[in-house]
Parts: sequence; C-alpha cells; structure tokens
Amino acid sequence: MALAEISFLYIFLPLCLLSYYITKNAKARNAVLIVFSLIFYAWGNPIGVLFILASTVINYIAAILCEKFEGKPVAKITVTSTVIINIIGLAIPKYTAFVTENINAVFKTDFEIPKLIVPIGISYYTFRAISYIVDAYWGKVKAQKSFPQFLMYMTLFPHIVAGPIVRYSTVESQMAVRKIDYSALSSGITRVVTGLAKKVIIANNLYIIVEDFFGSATSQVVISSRTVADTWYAVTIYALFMYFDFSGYSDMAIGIAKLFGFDFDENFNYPFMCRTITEFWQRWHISLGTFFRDYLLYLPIFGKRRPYASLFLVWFSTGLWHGASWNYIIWGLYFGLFIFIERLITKKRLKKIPDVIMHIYTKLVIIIGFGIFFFTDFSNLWDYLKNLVGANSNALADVYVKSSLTNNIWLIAAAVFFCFPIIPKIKKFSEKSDTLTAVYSVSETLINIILIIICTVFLTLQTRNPFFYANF
Amino acid sequence: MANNYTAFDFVESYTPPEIRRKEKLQNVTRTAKYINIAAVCSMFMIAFFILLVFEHPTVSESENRELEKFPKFSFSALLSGEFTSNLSAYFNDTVPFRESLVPFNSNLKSYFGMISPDDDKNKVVFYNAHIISDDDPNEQSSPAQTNSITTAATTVSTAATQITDASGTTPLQSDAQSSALTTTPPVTTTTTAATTTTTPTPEPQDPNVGIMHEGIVVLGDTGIMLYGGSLANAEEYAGYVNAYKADLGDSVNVYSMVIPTAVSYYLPDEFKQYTRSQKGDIDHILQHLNGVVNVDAYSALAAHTDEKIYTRTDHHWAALGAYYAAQEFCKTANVPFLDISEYDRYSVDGYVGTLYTYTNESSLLNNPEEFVYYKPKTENYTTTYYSQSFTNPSVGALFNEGITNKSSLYLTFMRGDSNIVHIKTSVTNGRKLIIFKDSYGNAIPEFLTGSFEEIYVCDMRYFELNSIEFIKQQGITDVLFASCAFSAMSSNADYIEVMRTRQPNQ
Repeated sequence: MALAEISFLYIFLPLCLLSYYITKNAKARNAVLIVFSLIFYAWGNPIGVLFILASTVINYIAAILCEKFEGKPVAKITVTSTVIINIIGLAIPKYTAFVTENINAVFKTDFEIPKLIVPIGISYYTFRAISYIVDAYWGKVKAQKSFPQFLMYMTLFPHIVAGPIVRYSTVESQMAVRKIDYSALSSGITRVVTGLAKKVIIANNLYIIVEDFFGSATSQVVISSRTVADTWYAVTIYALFMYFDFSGYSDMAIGIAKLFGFDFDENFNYPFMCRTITEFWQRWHISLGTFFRDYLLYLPIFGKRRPYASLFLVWFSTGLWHGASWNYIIWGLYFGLFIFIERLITKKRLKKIPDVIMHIYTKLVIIIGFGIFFFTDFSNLWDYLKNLVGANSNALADVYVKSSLTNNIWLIAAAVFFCFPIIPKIKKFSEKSDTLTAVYSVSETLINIILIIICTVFLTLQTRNPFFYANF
Repeated sequence: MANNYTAFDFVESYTPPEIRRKEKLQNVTRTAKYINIAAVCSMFMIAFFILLVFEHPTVSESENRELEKFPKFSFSALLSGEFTSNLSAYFNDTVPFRESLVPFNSNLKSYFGMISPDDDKNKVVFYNAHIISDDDPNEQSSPAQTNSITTAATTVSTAATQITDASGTTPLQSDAQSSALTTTPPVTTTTTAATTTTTPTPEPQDPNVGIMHEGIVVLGDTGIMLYGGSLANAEEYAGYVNAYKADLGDSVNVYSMVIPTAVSYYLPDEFKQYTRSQKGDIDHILQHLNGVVNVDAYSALAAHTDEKIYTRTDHHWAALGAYYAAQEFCKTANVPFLDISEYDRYSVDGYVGTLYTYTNESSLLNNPEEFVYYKPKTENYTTTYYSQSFTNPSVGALFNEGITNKSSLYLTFMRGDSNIVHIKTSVTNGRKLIIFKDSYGNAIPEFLTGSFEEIYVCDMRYFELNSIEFIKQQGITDVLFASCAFSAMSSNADYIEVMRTRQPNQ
C-alpha cells in the first residue's frame, strides 16, 4: 500500500485513527499501531513480514546484550556481528542479481540470475536497525526492554516503505506514552495534506511530462531523437518531480506520524536553495546523509585518517543504496566528485565566489545528475549526455518542447515557486501580528479542503491516463 | 476590614481593548485549528463512508473499460499478497461517482497550461510523439519507442492494459469484453484471437494485436494519431496479399485498399517531422503488388478533405470517408455503386471517441462531435452474424443502433469486429465479395449493398478459419483487403498470412 492512494487515505488511515483514538490506554494504543503497521506492511507482500520480524528480534536481543555487557568484548562482538547480519540481510535480496550479472559480464560465466523477493522498505528498516544497535552500543540510547515498543519503532507504517530513516534516538522518548494537543494535530493534518498535494498534484503530473519525453523508467525511449531543448527541459522537470515526489512522501510520513504523537526529524530542507553541492546533501534526504556521516565514516579502516577515501566510500554507498544498478553508483560518485572538488577549493574560497555563479553551478550539477539517476540503460544515458551538449546532431529546439511548456506552464511555475521556502516565510511573517496569524490559520483550513478535493479527483481518475507510470 | 478596596481595584477587572483583542484573535486561531482538524477529519470520514456504503461502479463509460472487480478470496491469494493488492486496486479504481468527476478532472488539468479551456482551439498537445528521422526510411519501429494499441472499434484496452501504476492497478479487461456492453451476441475475446495465431507462420510479433503508432497530437478540438510504419513493413504486406492472388488464380480478383488515416491530410506541415508519410508507404506497396489490384483510396479521400471524412475525437474515419473509398473500390472492381442520395443520413450527438480516452485532453472532451452513418433507403438485403469460426448464425440488423456509451459509437457499424458478417443483397451480377479488414473496414459494407450479390466481412485479426479454403467454399469472386495504413504497416498485417497458412478445418 502506498500513502498517496485512495484505499490508504480513505479506508486504512481513518480506520487506524479511529481505533487509535477510541483507545485510551497507552499500551493499547501502541498495540493498535503495531497491528495496523503489520497489516500495512503485509498488504502487498505477506512474506516480507517475516524478514522484518526477524530483523526486529535480532536487533532487539543484540541491543540488550550490548547494554548488559557494556565495555566488554562480548558487546563489541555482538554489535559487529549484528551490523554484519543486517548488511547481509539487505545485500542478499537487493544485490545478488546485480552482482551475478556483473560476474557473468566480466568473467563470461553463465550463472543463473536469481530472482529473489526484495521486502518492501528493506533499505530503510535495515538502516533504522543499524542506527539503533550502534547507538545502543555507544550508549547513546538505552536498549529498549519492551519488545512491542521496539517492534512498533521498526514497523511504524508511516515510515516503513520510504523513510525517512528515523533514528531511534529521535523517538526514544515517544515510545511508551505520547501526548497530542490540538495544535500538533492540526499541524500534522496540514502536513499530510501538503505532502499529498505535492505528490498528487505536482509530482504525478510532472512525471507525465517526463514520460512523454524520456519514456517510463523501465521502458525508456531511445532519446537520441530528442532535441537539445527537449532534453534540458525534460531533465529539469524530472529533477523537480524527484523533489516533489520524495519530499511529498516524507511530508506525509512526518504528518501521519504527528497524528499519533510522534515527532520525526525533517528529511528535506528546500534542497534547491543550496549554494554548494555539499549543502545540497545537507538539505536533500537528510536522514540518509546523516546516517552515512554518523555510522559509515566511523568505520576504522577509513574514518578521519583517510578523508578522501572515506568520502568516495560514502558516495559509492549512497549511490548503491539507491538501487542495484551502475547508473546509481555513477550518480553517487558524481556527487562525491563535486563534493571532493568543493573540499579542495575550501569553504573559505567558495564563499568568495558570487552567489549567482554558485547557484547556477549547483543547479546544473543537480539537474544533470538526475538524468544519470533516470537512465538505467547505458546507451540511453550516453545519448542523454550527448543530447545535453548537442552532440547528436539534433535540432536545438522544436515545437514539441514549446507545446509541452505552453500546456504545463502553471504547473511548472508552481513547482519552481514551491522549491523556495515561501510558506515558512509567510508563516513567519504572519506571526508578527495576531490578525495575520488568525488569517493564516483560517486560510490554512480552506486551502487544505481545496487541496483534498483536487487530490481526490486526481487519485480517483489516476488510472485514466494511459501513459502514467506505465510499466513502472 | 470592611471597604478595604482602593480606587484602583477596578483595574484588575478591566481588560484594555488591545489585550481583549489579542485574546479574541488567539481564540480565532485556536478555533481555526479546531476547525482545520474537524474539517479535514470529516472529509476523510465522509470519503470513508462513501467508499464503504455507496455502490461501486463496474464500468467506466468514458474510458470504455471494465473497472477492477472485488477480488475472490482464497488462502493462497492471501498468502501471496494477491488478494490484498487486488483489494486496494479495487477500491482505488472504483470510487463511487467517478464518472461524474471526469469533466472536472480534465478541465482542472487544462488549467496547468497557458491556454484556458475556453480558448482551447489553439491548443497543441503532444502525447508520446518523437521526431521520426528521415535518414533511414527503412528503420523498423522498435517496440520500445512505439505505442501499441488495438484497432478494434472498442479500442481502449491496450492503453488500459499497460497501466500498472505505482499504486498497484492491475491489468484491465480486454477490449472485446468491454464491447460486450454494447453488443448483444456473444463476443469472442481478444485472447481467443491471440491463441489461434500460435501455430502458423509467421507469428504476429505482438500478442496484443496492436498497431504501432508514434504518439498522438491534439490540435485544438482534433486529435491525430501519428504514423510509424516502414518500407520493410510495406513490402511484407505486399508479399502477404500477393500470396492470395497466387493461391487463388485468375478466377478470383484480389484487391488491396490501404486506407490513409487523418494524419495524411490534416497534420499541418510544421508537425510533419513527427510522422512518416503514409503516401510514401502506400506507393511502395503498389510497386510490390503482383497480380493484386490496388484501390487508390488515398486519392479518393484526398479529393474530399474539406468534407467530414474523418472523426476528430476518434482514431477511425467517418462514414463519409468510407463512402468515397467504397466508390473508388466499385469503380476499380467495375461493379455498380449506389449514390449517397440512395441513403438516409442518421446522426448521434455527443460523440467523444478513443483519442480522448488515450490523451484525456479536455479540448476533445469539451468539443464532442456528431457521429454520422448512412442507411440505405430501401433495405433489400439481409445480414447474418456468425462466430469467427463461421458457426452460430443469427440474422440481425446491419446497424447496431441505440448505443448508449457515446465513446463506443463506432460499434454502430456491424457491431464491431467480433463476428463474421454475411450480407445477402438483391443484386444479381454473380459477384461475391469477401472483405478482410481491420475496424476501418466496418464502415464500408453498407455502401456495397447495391454492388455485390453477397458480401462476407471478416476481421483479419480474429478470423479463425483458413481463408483460402473459406474463399473457395463460399464461391467468392472478389477478395478485398481493406485496412488502415497503421494496420497494413504493422504486425496486424501478419494476420493476413496467418489466415492463409492456417491448417484447414482447424
């Protein structure tokens, strides 16, 4: 089940909220969340539940052991082996086919490519588990003695499928009892609606444009016939799509969690506002970046002594984490390269470069990068890169891009507009006077209602569009 | 201690106006938050209530397809996750009152663009089109870059079957099944048609019985399907029809009529780079015909482009186009031809055809057209419908009138593609015609009721018998291949060979 679909929004979520709020007892409320989360997880893939349950049991026991044998070798052995088990648990289903394909390609062997079930959200829950066990070993968090509470952390449905990678330390104090006041509830609701609108109104419709130019993710068109302007236009739309799709999903997850009294950390902070690529990654998918910073760089073989090697290790891993395909790895290393260069230039000198140049540079790197992310097929990727610089002897522009732009201008304008932190600014401004605050609150409700209506209409008739997410 | 108050005590009970105002505003804000919670929650609850209580639609008229069905429960389906996924798909796809939201949805989306819905005549919208390079005219359309759809009169299915979106929608029903909505006799499904083609050579490459198109362009209120094709396909087609002439010999006339589509006449020059030239491919066929007589539909239609010979919102042609093509055919075949004055004109308003279904474009939806058909003034013919294996005869009307689903009006012609249709006329000239056609051919037979003694109409894609044997058994004198350029220049043409090489009596 996905968050932005009719059956989740109007059946699962209302049922879950009703059951949660008619229960008064804190333990019973947690039980409600666990039951609904397991149902949510099992919905598309019942076998996957066994994987996540196994991971939960192993990490639960390991953390208690680490705490019990604090400072002793047993703790170290436990944490090391548990982390390795977690990584193997992620790597086998996700990367076996990829590794086999590459072995076959390099050594001309003919091993059968195994078709393994990849449990939904495995990349996310494995990282949550690793953050927990390592934090428990470091003594940053107390080992959770209550299995149900730990199970709730691992399976909580808002973040189970696509993050954010919520650290246990963030929600540790919220596990047993949570208090919710009307203000938090109201802001949670607005957050859900905002995320839904970002996903359904903006992202889904931007993706239609992307598919029109580049084909769908799995059946990519031969893009060599696209003009230079087509390619730039479509990849820019794709970058916008990625932001609205992913951050909209994160908004929904954070908002839904709020409805049950959880406070998750932010996952996006207006990434396109960045001045450097380093800053982009502090604003984009924050929970992933901080995970690698806090846990991977701790690895003794790299760490601070070999800063550049560890930098590329992080970016290799970031790429690989996104998917078992070389283009993701290239995409990760591509960002690593720019961050490496930025480090060589040093922060001080970067600051002296005019803002305009920095913004043009970063947006170009990011937009071109998303093209690398999109094209899993290498010949298409190559054609795409050639198109960007006009090396395919295609026209510079044609009526196609003009038509698409004319027909989507307000959608694109809205997308660009909301890449800027306008709403927080308006909110902050409204706080200056009470009248404005009141006006803000009232319009919030009105806008929510309008957005829900539009989103519901779009979702209801989503299947109407034959080109949307076809074969995705 | 009595009267211990001072003159300033009243201050405590007095709140200055600005503070009162502040409190009031805080109250407003608090109330607004409560209202936000109440409003949004009640919207969700209303939606919940609607989904659970109201009847779920089973059919989408505007999309011309069956909606998801409530899944059958079984433990194995539950364990594999199939049941739950299908359950979600069912609720996502069958929201009560969904059809009434269709115009709202299309119009809402048209606000994304610069041209408002009121001024949509100037709109240009492309759907999955791309520049077709001239440097390699022999380039075969690769499946990755073409869009396959079914040419059946009930066409929506392929577009629909390709949807497997992220929210888990599962493949949708076949077109033939949805055509059952409007056609009375039992309908052969496309699956059957596909399975019958498994043994003979060459096998059609696409089991979905599709034609390849290169996207759609919508110009204001008119949709045009862009053409792919290739010279290699043209030669293949010519080879297939030549084989009929070789098999049948001099006693039987074989005609090939490749019907150009709207793209040949109505695509402005500035968009020509997004399509191949149908004329070029048709001419190429002509060069490769051997003993087969060409029917020049291209020129016949070109002479009447200022008349309504094509539909604006559907990928088919209009009855008038079929009239001119039939006229040309009769001239070529040297048989009499009934003038249009011998027909009564009928029309149905509100026709919005398949091009809207594919594109969802509001400028098509908001500008429905008139669906026109011509019935002979004197009905001196009888029509019999058979199954695709020429069994179960049932006498019926040539025109399937009274179709309520306005997007399926093209099914008015001989109930669509699902039958072998036999028309016995009062003509006595010894000429017996068989038409092997795609859905374009459906609109032709009524214009031949004064030209041939008997007419058999068979859809090349669904016909289940050996065609040569059938032609001989029925004592046919004239064989006409009538299909649009898309079909002739795609894997649909392979069925011509499939029919011929199929084991007799299979």
